Amino acid sequence: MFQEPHAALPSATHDELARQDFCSSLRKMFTTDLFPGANDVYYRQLLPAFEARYGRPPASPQEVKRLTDSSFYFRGSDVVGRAAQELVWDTVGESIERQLDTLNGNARPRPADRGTLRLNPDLEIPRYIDAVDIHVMPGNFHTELSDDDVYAGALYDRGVYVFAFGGLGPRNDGLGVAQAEVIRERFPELKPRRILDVGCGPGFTTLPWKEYFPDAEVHGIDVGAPQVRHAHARAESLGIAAHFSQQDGAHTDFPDGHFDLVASMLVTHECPVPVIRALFKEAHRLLAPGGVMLMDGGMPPIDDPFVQMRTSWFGMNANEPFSGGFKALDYPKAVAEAGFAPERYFTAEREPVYLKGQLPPISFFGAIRD
Amino acid sequence: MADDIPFAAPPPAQTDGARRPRRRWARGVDRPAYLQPGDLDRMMVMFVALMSEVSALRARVDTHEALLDGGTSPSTAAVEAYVPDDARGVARDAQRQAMLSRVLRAITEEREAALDGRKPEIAHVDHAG
Repeated sequence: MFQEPHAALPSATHDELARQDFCSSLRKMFTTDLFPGANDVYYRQLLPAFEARYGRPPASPQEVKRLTDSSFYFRGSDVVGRAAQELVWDTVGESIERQLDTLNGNARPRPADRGTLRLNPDLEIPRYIDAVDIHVMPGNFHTELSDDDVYAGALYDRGVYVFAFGGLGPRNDGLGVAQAEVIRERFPELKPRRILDVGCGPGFTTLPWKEYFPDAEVHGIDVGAPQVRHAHARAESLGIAAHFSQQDGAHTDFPDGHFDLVASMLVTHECPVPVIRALFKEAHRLLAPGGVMLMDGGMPPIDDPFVQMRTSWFGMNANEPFSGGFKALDYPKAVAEAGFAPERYFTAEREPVYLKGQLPPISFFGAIRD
Repeated sequence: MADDIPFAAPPPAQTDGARRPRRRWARGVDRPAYLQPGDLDRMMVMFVALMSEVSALRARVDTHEALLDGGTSPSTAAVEAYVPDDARGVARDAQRQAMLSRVLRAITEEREAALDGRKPEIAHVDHAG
């Protein structure tokens, strides 16, 4: 399967593509073989040996970590997983840096564009974004290498495809489609006039809204200027009208009650808890009565300390330091504290987009504005 | 005739008369110890990157073969322009997976032992506490 071409997508030389293909194969082996295979080592060898010795199972994720650290399977596969993570961005980054001037030029807005692009050079980048390169992606989502820069947007667009070995679909939009399906199924009467995607990145989760709700005005915001520049160019090239602006989802410049739907995908688990609360509060301000906020997350609590440790693999190995706080958050309470009526809280689930049978269902939560 | 043997080993160094083979180690102070325990993690990152280079090189060789199979001279431009068809793409993917399985065997052998119900050939350290 190939990533769907668009004018903002980086090209690759023969060898660049070969290295990217290797990254995909390595990620695939880690994700579908080494990572799940750890269950066999743990439940068949490590856990029985521990129980035989101590007469009880490990009591905490920390104790599980000490136990799994005794196994080269865990040490070796974890370092390979980490190396794969670094290699994806370095491999794709080198290719993009080579052609950055061309990509920047291709991304410049044109008079005939369907959608719009608004930048805010004065936007202060929050410290939690500037200080931590999420996914160990150097420069994170916002760093600019040049004027009119799209580097980080192009890097995430191509990098995610390589990282997920195409599993999110030719447009990397599987999760965006899942979100739109949740809303259409759960709220069949909802006819949103305006939709906001918070933390839109290259627009993987923005454009499906327009496809599912063609009459709506669809907006995507991101603190990273390279993200919204790239997202705009990508949307134009794919022929989809969307409006992108460089903004912080915790305090936007949209008026009160401007949207009927405020959504966010794979963003909140990268945010410290005070920021998550601010995002909920801003969503509440932005929604018109009857409008819906939709977020991903809200998994049920996990009892097995081994499963707890394994589900925090990205937190431990790929620079997701805030994911633990997000997982521990009491979502219904936090949503109510942001102003939503407690009885208007809801949850939803969808089948995983990729790695079906291995990943748990995608979980959603949200609330309806009174 | 040695000329007929492909990849013939080089002739042995001449050691007749007063010649002795060159010494390949240096007298004097021992080689310093460079690496520290944490460096192994970095070495693994370098090792994985090197696997990527080997894989890319193999893809380039495969492109040469594909071009020659099709009667095209593997010029730089032809290599750059080449796009594998679906069957060749699938075959390359399988080759990469097979290479990874071979190279990473030292990691996966512990799982194979677990699946076979064998004790792993390593000592597990004390881990409670």
